Amino acid sequence: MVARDASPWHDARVTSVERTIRVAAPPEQVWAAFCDEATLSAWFGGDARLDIRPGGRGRFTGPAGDVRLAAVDEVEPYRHLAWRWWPLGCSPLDAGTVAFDLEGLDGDDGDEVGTQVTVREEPPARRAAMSVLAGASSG
Amino acid sequence: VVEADRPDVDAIFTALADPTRRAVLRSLAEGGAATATQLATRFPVSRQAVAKHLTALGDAGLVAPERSGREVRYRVTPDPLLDAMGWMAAVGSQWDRRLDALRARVEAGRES
Repeated sequence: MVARDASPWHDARVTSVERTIRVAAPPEQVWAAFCDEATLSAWFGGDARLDIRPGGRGRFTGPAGDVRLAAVDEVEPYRHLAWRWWPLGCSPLDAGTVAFDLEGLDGDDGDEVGTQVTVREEPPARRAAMSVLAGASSG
Repeated sequence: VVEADRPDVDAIFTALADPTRRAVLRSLAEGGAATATQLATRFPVSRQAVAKHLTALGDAGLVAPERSGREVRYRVTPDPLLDAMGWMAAVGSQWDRRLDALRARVEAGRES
């Protein structure tokens, strides 16, 4: 039943984009790169503002001038950060989600201390949100 | 460029998350347009189940019904699939660039 070949749309993970890198610095230093707007903007590109608190707001202006608004959902200092974001002028129902996970890599055996950084972006979940609202209003 | 704000991308991903729907879509792509009854002979599921999957694929814009006489045949409409793949490619390359810049920035700060 399940397809034989490796066409991308046969992969169940087609539902999100995920990337992982290793940084040669402890999680505290990686986390700090999110906390100040100048530093965040420098690596994010464009102008990036994010209030790293649950319920905190954010605003990302891309290099082309496109603006996305954000709302911080989950904060676990030095470990986990997740926010919703949606294009300016659109409903927050059109929000996609971004989640960062930082995992400290121990310096056992003389290895360098480092951090594994994983980011996962999910596409806009409008349909899911709409069905929740439909369920709430009918129930 | 396909951007992250396409509301229909989620419908496409939701439709493709089910292995039977992917198999139905593959069957239509390989074998050409077919009716729900014809498709049901190719999979160990009922015609009703196939019809539900076709509805979900149709909602996502991945298949389109065509009426010919008393039959309704479904054919693949690939454009939304290209949108979804385009979203993944665009978003993935943005994160590749940002993560490279993040690493460079943090590691440079550490050396100074």
